[in-house]
Amino acid sequence: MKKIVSIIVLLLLFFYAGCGNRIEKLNFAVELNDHAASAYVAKDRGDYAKYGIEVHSFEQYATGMALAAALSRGDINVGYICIVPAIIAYSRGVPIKIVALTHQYGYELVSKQEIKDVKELNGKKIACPGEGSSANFVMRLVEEKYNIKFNVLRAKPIGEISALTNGAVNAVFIPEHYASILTDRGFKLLLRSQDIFPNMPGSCIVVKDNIIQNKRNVVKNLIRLNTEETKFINKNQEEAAKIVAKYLDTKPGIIENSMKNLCYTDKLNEEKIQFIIDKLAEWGYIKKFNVKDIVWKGN
Amino acid sequence: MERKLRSILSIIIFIGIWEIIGRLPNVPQYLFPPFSKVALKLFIVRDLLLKNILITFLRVAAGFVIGAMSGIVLGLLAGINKRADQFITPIVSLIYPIPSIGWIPVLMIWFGISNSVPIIAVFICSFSPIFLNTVRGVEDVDENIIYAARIMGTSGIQLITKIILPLALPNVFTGLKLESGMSLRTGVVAEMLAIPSGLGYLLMKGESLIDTQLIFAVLITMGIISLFIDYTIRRIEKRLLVWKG
Repeated sequence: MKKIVSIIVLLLLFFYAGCGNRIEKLNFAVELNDHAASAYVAKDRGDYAKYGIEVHSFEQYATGMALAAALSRGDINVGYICIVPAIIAYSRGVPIKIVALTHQYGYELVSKQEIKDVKELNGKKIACPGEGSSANFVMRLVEEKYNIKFNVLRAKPIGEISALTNGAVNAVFIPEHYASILTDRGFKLLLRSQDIFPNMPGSCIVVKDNIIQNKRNVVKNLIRLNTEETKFINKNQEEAAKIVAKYLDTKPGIIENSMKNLCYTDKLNEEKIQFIIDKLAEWGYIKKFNVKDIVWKGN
Repeated sequence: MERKLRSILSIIIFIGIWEIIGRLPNVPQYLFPPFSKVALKLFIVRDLLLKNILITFLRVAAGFVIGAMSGIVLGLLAGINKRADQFITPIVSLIYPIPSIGWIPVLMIWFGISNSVPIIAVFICSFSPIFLNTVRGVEDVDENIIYAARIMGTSGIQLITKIILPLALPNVFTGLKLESGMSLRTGVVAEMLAIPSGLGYLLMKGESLIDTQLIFAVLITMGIISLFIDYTIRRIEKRLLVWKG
């Protein structure tokens, strides 16, 4: 009996010690796509240091969902992430706030050339990232608008590219820049997120609550920096594309085309974010909450 | 009776520790939900779970039954016939060490997104060990018993069905018990990678939505299914090997 009690106590101590507050170093993470252009540009031009932001680590994640999981584990505390996984992470209890937008749109439906209309895909096999992704959000909106139902294979963007290329699926809902990689290979851009959801918030910057509480000025500088980088991207798209292409190991031409499908802006549109929250709640993914709970405006 | 009580007590202690850890103030419940929340989730998603349990169970059962039947039949053949043994066993021995989930990418290319992928993956998983155990079981049959049966005029078919197969069954069941759990794991992994339905799909859905309650609910379900399959095979073994005592 003593042994059992000792084991239980040790287990509890182990979990308690392992989950304590960590030292607040700024660990950044971005998605491996051009949605995070403002982060790549800031890193490349050394602007984080200029704004007094000490970046301890800068990680790349294949998907927003993987990045959201890293946020929830506490591996990172600043993330450039698609809006849907950010909302889902918050709804689960991950202590984060959205502090700025990085762009609108950026999710496309790319198909085989022979597909002429979205309705032709009713009941057909298509690929889409997981249910916690923004691409899935766009897919669900398309299903609703056209009153159709897809036969969905879940895959990460790289897997989606393979699935469409080898003919396993007829189309893919996929984030940029992967969509532009496919159109560069001769596949058809059938639908863009702007066609289905005007002013759709694309990605955002999220910061852990403890960082907002303890490094308020740093977060304010991060917001200011994002505004500056967004202006730079919009003014110098060719140069920005070259920088982003370097980090994504992709041809600059593809990135430039891809960036034209996005609208780089730092302005948070609360009405549209609330629409996403309401839809996710309606579909049973999260419990409904007010957009003001997740947005931090620097007050 | 005392053994059963101890088993129940250990499970209660395990659940208790789980609940306490899940409710520690520094443990985020979105990472490690307490048991009570997982139990509630099990109740909430019961219809979804039942539907997907059935899908996974049918896939795993189909692959396992085909794999087991083929393994037993070819194992008997190889155990009885030296030429068949020399032809089949080296091939199976070559395939056996390859992890069955390693076949999934090529199965996806060959068969696309269909039920065939988990079924064939489970078939590959279950066939080789059951084949090799059956061969070993047949080889272990005392030659004197076979000799005596032949002297008493037992025909070839009777020799297999009445003497060799029953005596090889303990080894066959060792293979079946070992591979039943592995088959479920292989089927679920195939669903995680290739198929938008079944328990594997639910696990991926949970990961995508950071829904650890759903993930734990599926894991508990898988544990219960594994226990059920193991229990069923043990019951069948007990009935068929009644002569062994």
